[in-house]
Amino acid sequence: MLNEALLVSRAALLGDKNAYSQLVVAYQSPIRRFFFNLTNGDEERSKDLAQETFIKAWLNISSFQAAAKFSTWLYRIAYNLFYDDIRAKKPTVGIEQAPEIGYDHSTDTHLNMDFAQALSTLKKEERTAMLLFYMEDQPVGKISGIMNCPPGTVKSHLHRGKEKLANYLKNSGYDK
Amino acid sequence: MTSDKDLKQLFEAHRTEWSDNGFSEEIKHHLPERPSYLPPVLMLVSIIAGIALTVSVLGVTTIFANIVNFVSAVSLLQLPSAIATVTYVGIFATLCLIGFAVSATDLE
Repeated sequence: MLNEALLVSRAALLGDKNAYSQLVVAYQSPIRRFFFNLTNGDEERSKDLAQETFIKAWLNISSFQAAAKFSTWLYRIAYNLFYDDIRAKKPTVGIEQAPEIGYDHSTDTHLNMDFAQALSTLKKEERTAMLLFYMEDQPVGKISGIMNCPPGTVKSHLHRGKEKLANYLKNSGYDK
Repeated sequence: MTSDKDLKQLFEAHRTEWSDNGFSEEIKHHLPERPSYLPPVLMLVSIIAGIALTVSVLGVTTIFANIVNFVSAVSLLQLPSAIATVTYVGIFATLCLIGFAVSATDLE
């Protein structure tokens, strides 16, 4: 099992790149997945954002406080970078043009739908909260820290996100 | 109305795992160097502890007397005693190490 505290200490105090690299290996998948879904399936952009996240985390690792989990801190950096990125760039993909990724990992045909299209119906904050809660299994308290907003606001985002997705599923012929 | 369970099922169905494919290696090569403060700090602490221990064991008077003997002997073109030489060289080396440790921590 990964000893995060030890790896973070080695990276922060000794500048140990090998120790930090183990953290990157552990978290590269969830961070890349997070960006992939936030950017409506833009693989290049999500990879660039993920790289920026890990480099920024390395540069600021001395400021990481061991009281919080490393993953929470990493998601916070990722979320802030995503927001800076969309402020800096004009979105190239709108709701109507969201790519049809067409995941088919489920055997349940009711779920065989354009996931990216469904997510694109949500606002950025709602999409972030939904992804962190339902896909990355982060509790409301941690999401609140990641998004830097009160837990009540996170719950509102989740509530609205659920409503919009429910409507989308209904309109897409999802039969409960 | 779509339940939490349905949504959880939906998200988990689309939860893809990304294989590393050299991603972490690429990150590692792009990481800028970070200064490492711990070794010089440990060195400094060890030197100071060593000096404190030496002084407490030998006493300041003895150390001072040996230094005086060394300097006197050299000034009179005589060979200083071994103890005086060792004391002098030891203090000189310690001061050099302290200077090295301090300069190593003094990073831009």
